[in-house]
Amino acid sequence: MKIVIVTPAKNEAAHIKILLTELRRFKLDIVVVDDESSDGTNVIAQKYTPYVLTHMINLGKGSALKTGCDFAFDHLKADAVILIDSDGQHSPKEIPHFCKQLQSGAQLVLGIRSFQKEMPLLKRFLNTSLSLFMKLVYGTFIPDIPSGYKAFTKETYRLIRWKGYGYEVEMEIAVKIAQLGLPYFSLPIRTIYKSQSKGMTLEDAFHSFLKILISKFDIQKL
Amino acid sequence: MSFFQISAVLFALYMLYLVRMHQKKMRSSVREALLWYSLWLVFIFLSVFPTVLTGISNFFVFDRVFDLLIVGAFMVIAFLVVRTYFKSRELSAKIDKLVREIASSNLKKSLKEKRGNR
Repeated sequence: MKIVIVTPAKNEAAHIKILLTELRRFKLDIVVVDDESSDGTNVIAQKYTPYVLTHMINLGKGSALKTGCDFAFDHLKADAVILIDSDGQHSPKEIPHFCKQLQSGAQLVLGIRSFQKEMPLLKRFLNTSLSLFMKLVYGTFIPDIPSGYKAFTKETYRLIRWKGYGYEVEMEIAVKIAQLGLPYFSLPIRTIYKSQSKGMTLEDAFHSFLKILISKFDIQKL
Repeated sequence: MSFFQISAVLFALYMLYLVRMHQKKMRSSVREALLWYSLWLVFIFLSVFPTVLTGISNFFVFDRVFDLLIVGAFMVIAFLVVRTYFKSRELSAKIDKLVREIASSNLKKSLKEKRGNR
C-alpha cells in the first residue's frame, strides 16, 4: 500500500525543518503545500522533499489539503494519505501507528488527543461541545473534531472530499463521516500545544456549530 | 421643497456625475450608462414631485410615500446583497480551483524538467 504524507504550511519556517527531518525517516513520499508563505517555508521544504506545491495566494487550510491530497492520489498514485499539521502540534512519531492501521485495512483513521492540561481549557470545552452537538444532531459522537492528524484511503477521500477553504475543513470532514456513517479508527495521539499555535478560534467554533446544523438540512440531500 | 428633497436631488446629481465618469473611462457601455442615467433622472423627478407616487403608495396601503420608498429601497438592497453573496461565493470557488491547478501544474512541470535534466 502506497502511503503519502501531506502537510499544509503557511509561514512555518520555524517548524517545518524539524518536521520534515523527522518525517523523512519513514521513507514515505511527503507533499508539502505552501499556502503563500512569506518566510521562505517553501524554500526550506524543497530541501527535504521534491513535492512542494505553492499557492500563489493564500487560500486556507482546507484548500491546501485538497491540493496536497489531489496531487498525492492523482500524480503520486497514493493508496492512502496521512495528514499532519506543520506547526509542531502533531508528533511525527505517530506516523507508524497510522500506517499500521491503514495497512490493517482501516479506511479512515482519526488522531484523537487526550483532553488533559496541555490543551487550554477553552479549547477543551469547545472541542467537547462540538462532539456533543454532533451527537445531538447526527446521533454520532466523533471525538476531537478539530484534530488535523488523520489518515484515509483514496476511496474514503472521494467520499469526504470537502468544499471548505479554511479551518472548517475538519468540521466538514466530521459532518461527512456522520452523514455517511463511515467507520473510522480512533488513534490516541500526543497533545501538543504551543503558545503560538494557530488553530480554531471562538469564531471558527461558532461557524462549526452552524455548519453542523445547516448540513443537517442540506437541500442537495433532499 | 424640503431640505430632504434638496439633499436627494443633490445626491442624484452626484450619482449622475459618477455614471458619466465611468462611461468616460469606458467602464460601462452606452446602453448601461443610459439605464443608469434614466434611473437617476427618475429619482430626481420623484424627489421633486413625490406626490406622483401617492396613488401607488395608497394601493400598497402605505400611509406615506416615504414608507413606500423605504420598503422599495430595502427590497432592492436585499436583492443586491443576496446576488453579491452568491457571485462572491462563485468567484471564490473559481479562484480556489485556479490557484490549486496552477500549483499542481507548476510542480508537475518542475518535476518533469528535473527528470529531463538527469
